[in-house]
Amino acid sequence: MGPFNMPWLTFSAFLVVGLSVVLAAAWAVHDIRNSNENKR
Amino acid sequence: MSLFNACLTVLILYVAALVGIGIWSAKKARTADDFVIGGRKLGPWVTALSFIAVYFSSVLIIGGGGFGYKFGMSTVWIGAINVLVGCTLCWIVLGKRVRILTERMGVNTISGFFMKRYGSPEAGIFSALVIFLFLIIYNVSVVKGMAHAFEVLMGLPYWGGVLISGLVIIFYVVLGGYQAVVWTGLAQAWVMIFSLLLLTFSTLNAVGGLGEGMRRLAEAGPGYVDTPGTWGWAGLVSYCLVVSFGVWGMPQLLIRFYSIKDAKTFRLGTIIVTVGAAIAVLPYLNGALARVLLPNLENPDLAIPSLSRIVLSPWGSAVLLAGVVAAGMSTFAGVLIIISSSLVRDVYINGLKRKLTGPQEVLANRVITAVVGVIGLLMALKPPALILVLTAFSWAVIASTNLWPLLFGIYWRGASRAGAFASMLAGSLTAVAWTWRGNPFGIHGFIAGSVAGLVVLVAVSLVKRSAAPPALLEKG
Repeated sequence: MGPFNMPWLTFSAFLVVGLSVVLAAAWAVHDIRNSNENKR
Repeated sequence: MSLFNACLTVLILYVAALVGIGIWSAKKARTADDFVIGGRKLGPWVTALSFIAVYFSSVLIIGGGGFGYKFGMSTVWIGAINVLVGCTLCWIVLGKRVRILTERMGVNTISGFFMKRYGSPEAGIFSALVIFLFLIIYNVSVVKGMAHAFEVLMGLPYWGGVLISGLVIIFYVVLGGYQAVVWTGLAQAWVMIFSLLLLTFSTLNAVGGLGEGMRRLAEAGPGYVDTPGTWGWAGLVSYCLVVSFGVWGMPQLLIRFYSIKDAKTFRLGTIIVTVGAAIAVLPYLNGALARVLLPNLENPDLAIPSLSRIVLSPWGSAVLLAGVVAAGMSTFAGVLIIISSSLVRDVYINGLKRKLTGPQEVLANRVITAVVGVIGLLMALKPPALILVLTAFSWAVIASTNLWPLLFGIYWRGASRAGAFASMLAGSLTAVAWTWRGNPFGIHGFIAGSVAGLVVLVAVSLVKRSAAPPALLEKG
């Protein structure tokens, strides 16, 4: 049983939303670094 | 204060705000490009939040709550995949490349991209006609969902909901075009976010918190908290894919990638769209928790309206109504502007090779928007049986037609003119035939159509090659 009396597989849906935010931020950082390297 | 009066007060304020934004945005819509894609100068907030406003209609809130009530917590996965696949990955994979390539090619509609990328008038016109026909039908279902929300949340007769919401939308879209669509979309997204958060906190408060709510829901039946629960994997996975991956072929959403001001704006935009779209899980969560408080509803679609009566004050219910109506109106408006540009720009100007001056094109768009909008309202007032049958097809057919020619068109130089057109035919016809047969094996028409479209695009492109346009060969 996971947090909040939910099975882990159900709770993972909320984790996926959190991971999406992390993914979006990571892509933004990657894109900034990429464009800085192209300028050099 | 009665519920009806609270709803009426909130609605009058809300409609006044929309009309105000419409009049303000009309000043910004001077040229044909302003009217169709906002002149390609929109920032990250308005782009991301109006994307969400067009993506989620009233059906997500009322129907999503119904799904949650019927099948339980496993439906929260639909919202989660909406966020990951329908927003975050869609923006990362398609956004920047679509923005750069469409500007290089000088195109500003989805079908226009197909004409230029594949040198294929036939693919452009076929796609424009599919978009025109099936988006009108999709819009009928959006208006129906909205008027239904007026009925169950406020007690307004069905025809009243259709006319009030429909006429306000037609007014501001005719006046301000794409500018009005995105700026009202920004306001509507905030109303949706606020109202869903209000409902969620009130519901969690009423059931004694999330952990306690889940414990009580499991007592109602363990299937309501498990994944895949009472729904089963096949239904859950295919539904998640349809409403998330299908977005990658929907022109009313892809157009946001054309109108953003530059490729750099996607960095902040992608973060905003992901955080904002997280509200997609809330209707399912509230619907599932509604079973704790209301165990014996006959119609699952009444889960959210009935829940709002017991956990929200009349003012809270009025705010929820505004949120549900905002979800529907913004979707209808975003689709309406696409229908008119596909007819005027793609079929008339590019397809039939007719010339229009800038002001003539704006006028033509305004007239078509008004006519198509009124036709949509009339069909929603008394839907012909055929239209009701076809609404099940609309999302599957549009997405199956556009998805692969767009994705391969921006990433694979080898995708050819013959491959793209064959893929559109195979994808759309398979989606229609599959849905017509009643979704054999429990697989949605979009899944069947997109598999057919993918296989045909790759196979035909490998056999019958054609040169990629210069814009695709430049670095960047």
